[in-house]
Amino acid sequence: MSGEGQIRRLAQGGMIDRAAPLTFRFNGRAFEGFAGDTLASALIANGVDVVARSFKLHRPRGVMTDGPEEPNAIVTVGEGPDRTPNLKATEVPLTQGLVATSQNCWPSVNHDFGAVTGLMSPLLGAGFYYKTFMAPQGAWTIYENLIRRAAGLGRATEGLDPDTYEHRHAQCDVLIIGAGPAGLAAAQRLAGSGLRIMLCDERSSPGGALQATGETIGGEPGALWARTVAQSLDSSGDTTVLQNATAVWLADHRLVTIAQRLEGDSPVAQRLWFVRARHIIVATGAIERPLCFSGNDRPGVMLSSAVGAYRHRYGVAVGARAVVHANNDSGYNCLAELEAAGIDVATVVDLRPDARIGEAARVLADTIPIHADSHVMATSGRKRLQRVEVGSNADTVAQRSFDADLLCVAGGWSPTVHLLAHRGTPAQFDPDAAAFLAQPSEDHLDLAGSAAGHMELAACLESGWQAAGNALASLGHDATYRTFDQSVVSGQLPPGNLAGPWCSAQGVRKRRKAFVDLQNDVTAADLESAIAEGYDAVEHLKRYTTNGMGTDQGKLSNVLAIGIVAEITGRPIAEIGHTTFRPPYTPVTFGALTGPHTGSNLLVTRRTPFHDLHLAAGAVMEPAGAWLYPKCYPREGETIDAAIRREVLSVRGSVGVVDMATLGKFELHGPDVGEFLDRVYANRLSTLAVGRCRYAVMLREDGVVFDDGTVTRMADDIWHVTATTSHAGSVYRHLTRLLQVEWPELEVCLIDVSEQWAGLAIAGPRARDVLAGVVSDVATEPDALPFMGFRKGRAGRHDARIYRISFSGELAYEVFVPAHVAADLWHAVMEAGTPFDICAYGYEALDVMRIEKSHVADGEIDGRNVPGDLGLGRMAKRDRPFLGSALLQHYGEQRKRQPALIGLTALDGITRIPGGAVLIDRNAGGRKPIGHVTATIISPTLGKPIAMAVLDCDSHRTSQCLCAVSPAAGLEVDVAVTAMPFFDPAGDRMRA
Amino acid sequence: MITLQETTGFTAQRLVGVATDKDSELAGMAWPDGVGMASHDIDRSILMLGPGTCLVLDRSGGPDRVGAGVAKVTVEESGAWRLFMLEGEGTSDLIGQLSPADLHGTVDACIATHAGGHPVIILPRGADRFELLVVRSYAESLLALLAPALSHA
Amino acid sequence: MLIIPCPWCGERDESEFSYGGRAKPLPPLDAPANDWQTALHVHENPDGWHEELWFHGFGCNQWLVARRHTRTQEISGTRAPGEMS
Repeated sequence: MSGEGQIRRLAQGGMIDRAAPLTFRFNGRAFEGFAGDTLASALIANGVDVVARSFKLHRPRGVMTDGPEEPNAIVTVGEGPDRTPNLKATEVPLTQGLVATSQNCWPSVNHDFGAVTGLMSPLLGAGFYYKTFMAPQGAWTIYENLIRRAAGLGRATEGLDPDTYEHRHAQCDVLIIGAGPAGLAAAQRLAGSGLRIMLCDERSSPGGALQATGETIGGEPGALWARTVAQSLDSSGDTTVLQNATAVWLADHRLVTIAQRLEGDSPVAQRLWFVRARHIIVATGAIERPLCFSGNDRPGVMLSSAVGAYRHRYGVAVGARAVVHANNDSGYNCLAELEAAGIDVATVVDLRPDARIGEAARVLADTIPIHADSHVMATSGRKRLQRVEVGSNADTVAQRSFDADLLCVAGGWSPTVHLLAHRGTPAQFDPDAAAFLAQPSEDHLDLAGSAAGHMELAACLESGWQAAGNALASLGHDATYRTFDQSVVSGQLPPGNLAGPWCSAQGVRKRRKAFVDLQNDVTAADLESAIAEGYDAVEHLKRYTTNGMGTDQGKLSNVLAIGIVAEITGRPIAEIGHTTFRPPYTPVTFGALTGPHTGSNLLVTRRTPFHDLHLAAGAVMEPAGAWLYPKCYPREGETIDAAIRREVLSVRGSVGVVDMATLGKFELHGPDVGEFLDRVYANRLSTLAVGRCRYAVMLREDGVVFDDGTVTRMADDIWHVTATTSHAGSVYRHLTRLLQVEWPELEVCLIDVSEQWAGLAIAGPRARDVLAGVVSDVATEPDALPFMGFRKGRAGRHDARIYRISFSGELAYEVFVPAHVAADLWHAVMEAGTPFDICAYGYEALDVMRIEKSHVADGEIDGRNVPGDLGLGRMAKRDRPFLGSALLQHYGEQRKRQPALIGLTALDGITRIPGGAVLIDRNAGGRKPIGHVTATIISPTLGKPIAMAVLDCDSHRTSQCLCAVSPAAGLEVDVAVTAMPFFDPAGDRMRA
Repeated sequence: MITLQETTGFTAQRLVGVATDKDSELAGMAWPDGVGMASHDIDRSILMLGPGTCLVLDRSGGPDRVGAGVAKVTVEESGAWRLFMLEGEGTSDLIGQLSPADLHGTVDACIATHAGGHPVIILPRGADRFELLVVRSYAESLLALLAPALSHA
Repeated sequence: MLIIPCPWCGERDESEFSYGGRAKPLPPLDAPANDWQTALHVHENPDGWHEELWFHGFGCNQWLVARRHTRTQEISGTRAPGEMS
């Protein structure tokens, strides 16, 4: 497993800070590394070969890459509530005290019982999920438990996430995604133009691929050039540079979502940016592809570019003795890196015939023997590569075998076009480039560098320069052409002359070990059998085999699979195409997506002006839509139910007070308001006298009841309209739309006054006495302020509006004062009510009382009922059309039966009728539902259970054997139809 | 360090159906240049919230100086709002945590928008200095959302 | 998340608006039931440019008409409902 100390750390070099050693633990063992390491580089430095076990077959795996394309090294980092599973070790920055463990293995990564699944691999081919565990039917629950235990990668923590996350909206003129050579060249050209520039990069420092190679610009190492350019951008003031920031989603109208990981000492763990740019340059580089051959997944098989990456970035030698396997010239770039790292190279195995190998590549090979027209036929070494067997492409048996613990694979390069593909336009396969290239199909969107298919450094720099020029021109700035001096650039070989089979393994046995998707253990044999079963369209193939569906999202396996499909089917790649790319580009943690909207900030919450007073009075506050509203005010030792009972009896017995602030309230001014209201409501309103209120029902365009409320005429041309709490917003939109869009000729001014008026309803037989003690400048006697009347007056020092309307069915007055002086009203009411034992009541008591009076509310206005269904049919005007009238008649004709709102009592007089219960008629036999319960209580006033219900058909109301059935509660209660309102049917109390 | 301070005792009136031609003025102040603009003097601000609709804000709570006939409809709105001053280095970034509105180069603007779903009117009052008019019922929820960010600032 | 150029407030984030469906006028209130059925339930679903309504609820509280391409999401312009297109 691991040696002692950092056996693979080179004596010099790397961008690590050798003056800052760190200690960390992996699978319980302590190791050392340096600041600037990733977990992967530190593990490699310490000689740790096996880092994880593969998902399906539990094969030992090692680190393969240095980036987000890593398919193998998936680990869990942290403990307790900090535990985060499924992180790629190549993306985890090493920190002091870091604790990480392997996943998907037991008892340990080196001795994994799960490895036995590997022996079953012939049975676990493509689509086995769809063919197994089918029978016997009843055994599924057993299978499910087994599968749950075996499935999945890491295990999530169950505690609350202790980290803080932020969101940030930002705007800029040009956003450059990627601070590699192309992105930096673009930023350099744009600096000083006066435009707002943002530059984001997924790594912790700028440079991109320049950090991983020995390329030079202007005679100095590329990484140093990058640092210099970035520093000058930072100090220029108009360029914002974000590191550790991955652009994960390119959305409509150039909105880019960027996930930024913040450094250890920051109080915020991650920040999700939403950047709106006027122009975007995508300079996201390219990712090297592996090769598909038998035995290509052992620890020690790595991308050829990873050799230089680990040497230059971390000062680590990734092996001791190497074989290089390539299908293109860029595979030869790693030879110099291997030599500089002190790694012996046995041979280069080139898939291509001699004649195809470029001269420049041969020069790089120097004295190292090249086996042309050959491929790796097999590898051996369970916990680390030990031998590589090589044979010519014409043969089926290996002829040579080499000692090697490192196999550098070079299968070509795929431009990182994902963000553009998010826009929906698929990338096209270019056979010359042997890559999928994207063409931006929108304005103000550009590709630059390797992402655009430029594989030489000089061309990358030039293309970044050009992209910046295009940005300047498209934003109306001077874009005088200046070429980038290419003579000062010394770059690596591009992936020229690419040729050879996509999968070199021959025969089923070999193809079963030729991995395409390393994370999900999908092999060439799996692709073959899926195609044989008819799944040859890429979208089907992906889902049937799970190729490309791991946390690496197919960054190494997608194109490889498409190439193999082309080989198997004989169709050209361009015709096969690629699967749909969907955001995010790399996984984003849920915490970042949630941002600050968590815990008590999960939802926007609204508070009434009386909120603190409710709390002081002992209210239990509950969410009612977006509002926090008092449920009830339990006294010392009182249960909730007892509190609600007490509140109802207090109101009906003497007087109570409730908060009315959540209703929607609108003022309408102008000469045409009466006409407008007649059009918008089912009832007649234009005849309402000044100082009077009227209950009104508003319909949808299709005749269904939309909302109800109270209309008040405050003056000739000044009206006031209420809407229910839950519909306040939609009613406002409805009314403004009618006034602004449909009927702009009406002279009506609509103003939302919901916020500025705070109101309390004083209800009960003693309500008038209390009112008299609260308001002044207004007569409160019954003839002066009749039922459904409105007056203006004063409450203390403040203007007040007084409405005599009742939802509870008691004598009631609603008093409104300006919201910022709400407390004065509360105290005045409580003081005036003390001689009458006034009590505050909440929405539960309010609901109990409105049910006792059978007033309709949300349960009845459920978007399915027309006024007639709710007993409100006679309200609708007959002599003129209104919104919904055209279809009301039609709706009635269309329906076979007329529903009816009815009242119910429980036959035994005791049992509460279950909420949401379905009504059946025992006489009719069977259990066909004929209605449902909309509201149910045990009435404190009547001392018995009552409920409101909607019958599907009015004729059922004469049934003698109705029963309310609740399968969810397991209850059946026999009920009888009874007249509504249940209490004070004549409405005498509220008219007192 | 960013500070959040509440201004109380102000009055707010909504004027609907105003004519804002260049020659006229409102109680000694020039009309704002258009919707989304504001004009300020020492205590008062006129915020143009929509076509023909403005909010007159008087932080001194002074007497009603809007004469009759200026607007078709005048509605008292002091109770509908709470007013806060946010200032300190990084205040734009702080507002950017919640609101998608672009505050760049917005002198004399009044930006009616939302901050994390809370309706607000943002008034830039100088470099790193912003007034927030927050709809009353949403104010506590918005303060709770701002609190962690303020503690880090 | 679109950018919607409000005729009064300028370019704003889509989250400030709520969608109001296609910009088709409602039939007269006394129109026959069939006209209303068609207006409410029979919709064209164009692939291309069409006009639609948006309400600037977290803004100036005005309704506006936007011309949007249903496939590319490009918005070519907006206008007040009363203005001619």
